[in-house]
Amino acid sequence: MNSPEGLAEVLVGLSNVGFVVFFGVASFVPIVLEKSLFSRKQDSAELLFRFPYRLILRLGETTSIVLLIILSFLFILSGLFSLFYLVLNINILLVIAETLSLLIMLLAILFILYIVVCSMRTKDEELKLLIQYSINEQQKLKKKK
Amino acid sequence: MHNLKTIEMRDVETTKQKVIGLLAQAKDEILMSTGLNSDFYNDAKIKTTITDAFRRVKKIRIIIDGDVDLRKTETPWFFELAKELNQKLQMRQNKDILHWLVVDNKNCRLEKVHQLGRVGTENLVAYDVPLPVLENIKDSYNKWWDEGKPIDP
Repeated sequence: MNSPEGLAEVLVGLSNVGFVVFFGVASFVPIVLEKSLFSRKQDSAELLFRFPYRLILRLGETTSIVLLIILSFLFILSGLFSLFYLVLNINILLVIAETLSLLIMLLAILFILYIVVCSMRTKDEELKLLIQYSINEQQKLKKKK
Repeated sequence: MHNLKTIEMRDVETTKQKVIGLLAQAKDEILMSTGLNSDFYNDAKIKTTITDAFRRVKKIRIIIDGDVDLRKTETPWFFELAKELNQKLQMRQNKDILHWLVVDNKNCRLEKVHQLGRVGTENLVAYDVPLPVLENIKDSYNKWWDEGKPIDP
């Protein structure tokens, strides 16, 4: 494990996991949003009061998807450098892979923290007013008709 | 959601200012459902702002609530403008709908149900409306649009 080869193998494994997780989230979140949550439009406004829904919504934003894809490709790049090190045994490749992995980890932590913190912020009063003026008024109008 | 901001208005003057503010920001698309109340829409500032915004944006859809002929006599300038912008402006007539203004798929003005012919006093302006609420608003708007009769300005 302490040998450079062991480290390179760990980095290859890490890059595989990282790519699958980040690219998987980037691919599936928009599908989940489109297929399940947006199809329940009446309820989905109410769902905004719930943290998990706000988190998924935030993850589904274009900026988040782009960031997730960039991170997943950086994982691949790091894995490739490690693989090349194992094949060619050029030390600089392992140094690059290590640095890249550290950078990706740091970026991933910052990204996750940002997403979670932003999703925790609630604007309950504003949301209640918005629902009152849009959805509740529509229901009032239907009853009137 | 993070930038959602709402302002509730209970008087006509503040509503006018906020509507002017919303229209002044419009760049791409305006969706409007309105009773075209002459007291509100014949105001010089409203007229200028609507004219500028309609000329600036790429797409406009308007649903007129109630009697169109009556609206044509009360707010003729609006229909003249619609004629001028025939290429990008579409109009339909429907009845018993809510009076909304959706700007650039992002900001909107919503109004509580009120008697037609009177200016609605209870209004809400919302900036950066969360997508699920906006989808709901647009769904209803599109339903009214589909049910409406096309108007030749």
